[in-house]
Amino acid sequence: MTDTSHHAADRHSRIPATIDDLVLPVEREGSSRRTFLKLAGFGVASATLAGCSRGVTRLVVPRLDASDSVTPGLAYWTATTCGGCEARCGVLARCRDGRPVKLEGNPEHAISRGGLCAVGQASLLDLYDGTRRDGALVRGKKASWNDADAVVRAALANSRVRILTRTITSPSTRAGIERFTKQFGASHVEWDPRSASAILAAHDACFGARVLPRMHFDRAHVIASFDADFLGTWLSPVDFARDYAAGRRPDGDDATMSRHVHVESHLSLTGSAADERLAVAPSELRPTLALLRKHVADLAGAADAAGSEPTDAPYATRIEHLAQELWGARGKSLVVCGSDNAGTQALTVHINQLLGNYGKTLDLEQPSLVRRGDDKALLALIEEMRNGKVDVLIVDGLDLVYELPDDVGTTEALTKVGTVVSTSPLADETSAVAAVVAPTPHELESWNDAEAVRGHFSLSQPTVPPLRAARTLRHSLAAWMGDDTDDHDLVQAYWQTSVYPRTKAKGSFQSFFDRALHDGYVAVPSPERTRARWRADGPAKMLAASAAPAAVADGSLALVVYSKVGVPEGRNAHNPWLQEMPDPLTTLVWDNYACVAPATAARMGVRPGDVVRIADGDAAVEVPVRTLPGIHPDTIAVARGYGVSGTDRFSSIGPSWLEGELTVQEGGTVGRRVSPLLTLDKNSLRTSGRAVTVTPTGDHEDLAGTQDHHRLEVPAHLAVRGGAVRDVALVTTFEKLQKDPDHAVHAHEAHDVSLWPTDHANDGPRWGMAIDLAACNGCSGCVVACQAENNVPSVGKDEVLRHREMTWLRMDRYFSGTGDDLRVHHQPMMCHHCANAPCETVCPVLATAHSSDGLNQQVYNRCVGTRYCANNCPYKVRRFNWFDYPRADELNNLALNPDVTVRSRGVMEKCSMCVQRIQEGKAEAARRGEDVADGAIQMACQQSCPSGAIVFGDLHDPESAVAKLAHGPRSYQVLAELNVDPGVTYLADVRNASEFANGSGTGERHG
Amino acid sequence: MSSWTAPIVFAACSLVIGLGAVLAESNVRVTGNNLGYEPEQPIHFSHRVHAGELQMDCLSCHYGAEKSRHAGVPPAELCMGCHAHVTSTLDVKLQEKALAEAEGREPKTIVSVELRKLYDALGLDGELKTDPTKERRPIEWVRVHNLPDYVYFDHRVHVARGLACQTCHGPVGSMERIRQESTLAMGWCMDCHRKNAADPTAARATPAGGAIELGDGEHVSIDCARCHY
Repeated sequence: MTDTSHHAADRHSRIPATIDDLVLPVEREGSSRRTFLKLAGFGVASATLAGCSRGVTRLVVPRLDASDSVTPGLAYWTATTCGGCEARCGVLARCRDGRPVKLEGNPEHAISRGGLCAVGQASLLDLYDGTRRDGALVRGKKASWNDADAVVRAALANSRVRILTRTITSPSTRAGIERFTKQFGASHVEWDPRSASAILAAHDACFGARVLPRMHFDRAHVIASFDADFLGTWLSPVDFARDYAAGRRPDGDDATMSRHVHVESHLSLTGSAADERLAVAPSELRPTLALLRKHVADLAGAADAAGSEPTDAPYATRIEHLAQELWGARGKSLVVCGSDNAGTQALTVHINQLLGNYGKTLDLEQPSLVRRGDDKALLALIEEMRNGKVDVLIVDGLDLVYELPDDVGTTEALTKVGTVVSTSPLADETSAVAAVVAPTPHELESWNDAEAVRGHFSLSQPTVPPLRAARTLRHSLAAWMGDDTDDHDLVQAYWQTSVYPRTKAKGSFQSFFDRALHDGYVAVPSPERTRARWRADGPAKMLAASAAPAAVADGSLALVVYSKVGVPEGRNAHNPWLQEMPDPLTTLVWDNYACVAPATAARMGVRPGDVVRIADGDAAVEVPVRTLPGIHPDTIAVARGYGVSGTDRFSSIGPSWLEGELTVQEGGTVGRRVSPLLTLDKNSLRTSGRAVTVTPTGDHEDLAGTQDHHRLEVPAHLAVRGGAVRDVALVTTFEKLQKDPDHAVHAHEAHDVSLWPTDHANDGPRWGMAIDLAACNGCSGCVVACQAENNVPSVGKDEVLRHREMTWLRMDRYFSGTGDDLRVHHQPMMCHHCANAPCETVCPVLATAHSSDGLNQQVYNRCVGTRYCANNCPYKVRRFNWFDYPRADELNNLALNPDVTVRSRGVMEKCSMCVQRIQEGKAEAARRGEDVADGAIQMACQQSCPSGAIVFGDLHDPESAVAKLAHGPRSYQVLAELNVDPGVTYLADVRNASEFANGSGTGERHG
Repeated sequence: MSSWTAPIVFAACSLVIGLGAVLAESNVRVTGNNLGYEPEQPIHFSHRVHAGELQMDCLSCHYGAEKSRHAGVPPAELCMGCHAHVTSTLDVKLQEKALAEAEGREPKTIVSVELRKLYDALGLDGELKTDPTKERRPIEWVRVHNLPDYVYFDHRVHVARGLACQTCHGPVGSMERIRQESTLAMGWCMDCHRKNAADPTAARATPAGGAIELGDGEHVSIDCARCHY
């Protein structure tokens, strides 16, 4: 690894020089890396000494060098960039003893601004994935880098070379690729499995610039989204969620709330946040937009601009109303569309142009660079390959065989390529046919940079010495060009020649670079200008060039292949945290499935879990059915990202016991691969609209969902009269809140009478949380953040089926209303740290007791596992360790947080309100002789939340942010009528809609 | 006496005698209580010399105690701050100096047996120069003060409150080899915490004579989650 001694600032200067420095040897013999890793989870190693009555002698082995020492027990932070997706959010890696143990959003990063999604949180675990490749392979056999490089170099001479990658967000890698393509006369093709090719094409046609505008949801007063899941999976969700939340602040004198209308075929996370949601069939999306354009063009006095595009869409009056709303907010509105149809995208561009949104809510000058992939170029490349016109193909970051439909004949095309070079760090289907594999490292163990929005740069740096022998694409390309510069120097050289000269920074390059490395982010003006000029004939040309999706015939359904929030793509399938994160909409784990409307399922005569065959010609996929309200009745939606080869590794996840079932069979996969049903037309790879026939196979599979676990409702047969319904997730309208804030939310009040003696006085702080349901969109970043922070185990599908998931923080989902007025509410639910805690009174051994600062403490070493507390908990947030969950993967154990006990079998656990963070905050304040400042301590869930929905602090301090929220007009307590005096307060959800058409203001959990 | 009483009495007696014999063995302790534990260390490092005779501040080596949960054992390079020059006792050095003068030569570096181990760990040769052929190998000290994994004790807070190290660690300055002076059992912690929690104004005196410095409204915690999480 590169010498890091010249880095001035302390945030990043403590990387041990080699893995051997990371942990010190304890066993004298064979002190290999494996040994170090084995012991790395502990600062102190234990060894049993035979014949000693004490049993265990523990050693303490300090480092030899005093210079860049890591203080044992003290965390330090390294600014770097998330490698989870192309949005490249800024992260701070919390490191202990030379390795990262938790990722947090970097608040100084101007794009992600401190938030981090579930995928980003979970990317930490990928670093400690033991199945990552270690060193190069030549024809499937381990080889030295020199040998592998020799094979590639020999192949490169006088060849037709192609490089196929995802969108390259790293400018230094892009520069490396350009250098490489020049030297070898090669060409570079970018393609994304979740493509924005149609958006780019539409802008190319309408503006003459193939760019993806940066969207500013905070500046938009009216947002119309057409099948764009921008809060969940689309383009840059953390950035969008921050902006979206900023535009929706329903409280106070400067209250403002954007209005969000969502049109989609299946039910997405963003759809669940919308003020108004319209379900249309995939084929109706384009006519709906055409109708909207017609109305907007009329309002703009440019009726003839509307052209002849068919406008026979449903919801005619609501679309007309939407057009009026958009026109009323012209220049302050935003229409976004996630369609893969270029014509549909051209309509979106045209509407935004008519509304004057370009230059205001849509930025072409500083465009987003997160998607540059071109479907057309990929198809041309495959054609070239098939015709034997490619000698060397370098594939980076893509499992082409997995992603593309089988009828493309990818494998066959690859066999016609002279030499396939893959950089896949995991065994996948494409690298299986590669002659040479030069694996890439994890983002957290390598140098890298990113420019996700033009002019906004961030840097990645190693937070741990490389755990695997691997090289970045940039490094490998340089090596194949005969350049032996190391990777750090390649990045730094790029910054010296191409970034530094553009800054107005005073001082040397080194001080600029060190500063950027310390901050993880720097804004640098770009010399590039987007040459965008409106072409009035653009939309019409694009519409003519792109065929409208046809409506499906009677008897078949339109297929939508969508991305799940937890596992958006195949590359995320190897992560158990993501696999076990309940989908915020279906609450299912460890599977993909076909979502259909309840009415559709009834028509087909299938129940949830019944397996259906979804087929079009030879292409077919068999998946279990799951009913979900809100989906258009003619639509069937299946998630991509499943059926990835190698996921049978999870057969052994969770406890093994007599009645335990495997999460996945040996040789099988988690979920099913849905790529066979993607449609290939001459321009693009289509994910929605294909007409499929759906037939039950007669099989049934249990789907593991957490939906009916831990219910807060009283079952009807046990309820007292009139007491069955409990108001749990409250919602009001912006209008009501504006008129009469004090009466907009009708919550149960706590009773004055208490059977409790006031004998546990709490005169110090009382730690508590306030959770704003209007800001929360259910993205579940907090759920994974909590899992990472608190060493919560993954238990596997079978255990979830037995209601034994271990998550401390769950995301409850409620439906209210029906049909077109379906509303979805998400509610993070964790221990409420009740002042009158029902769990405490029933514990026979005082293993759960109240602290002087208002916490409900769970003492693992005292717990004997009666589970009385869990039974008595009204919020159902306590989790019991039925097993010692497997911790055999020693590399994986490095991801454990050393500040939190790993619980053993037979004890209860639950949200501790990150007490380790509270104690750390208090200890630091004591050390400095200060009081704990409001906001100085952040919960793991709070830190991660891109929307800022969670606030933590001292409820006894009237000036604290949390106390102000807890006494605000929207505040209410869940199950307040039980008089448990919870420390968690919710702020009612707010929708910017007029009085709800039907349903009360209360969510019901099941739909 | 019936026929089956004898074996039972015999068995009971054997058990009592056996148990007595085991307990008589001085290093058998109740689980979790290692009071008096004084294991041999890889280097005969004398706290009596360093903390006692030389009056070195505890924090000059165990600097972690001020800023972290762990007090820590110093890195070997820190020892070199002094021991790059102090390679053996003064007597031996003076003798060598006198001898060298008498013989008309430069005095040799005399290295004591124990310090040799330190230099070996750092890969240094006889003249304390880095020897590239020697492997640097960290020193494996035997940990004396052990707490269970579910206890998160924080040195930093105790140091910040002005608690003397000797309060818990005993008269280290008179210990040749470090020895566990307190039980480190929860009851022992709680004794002090309870006393101070119950009456934060009066009972601030620590057993070693120091005083706990608490701010207004602060109190000594007796919460479970102070240490267990």
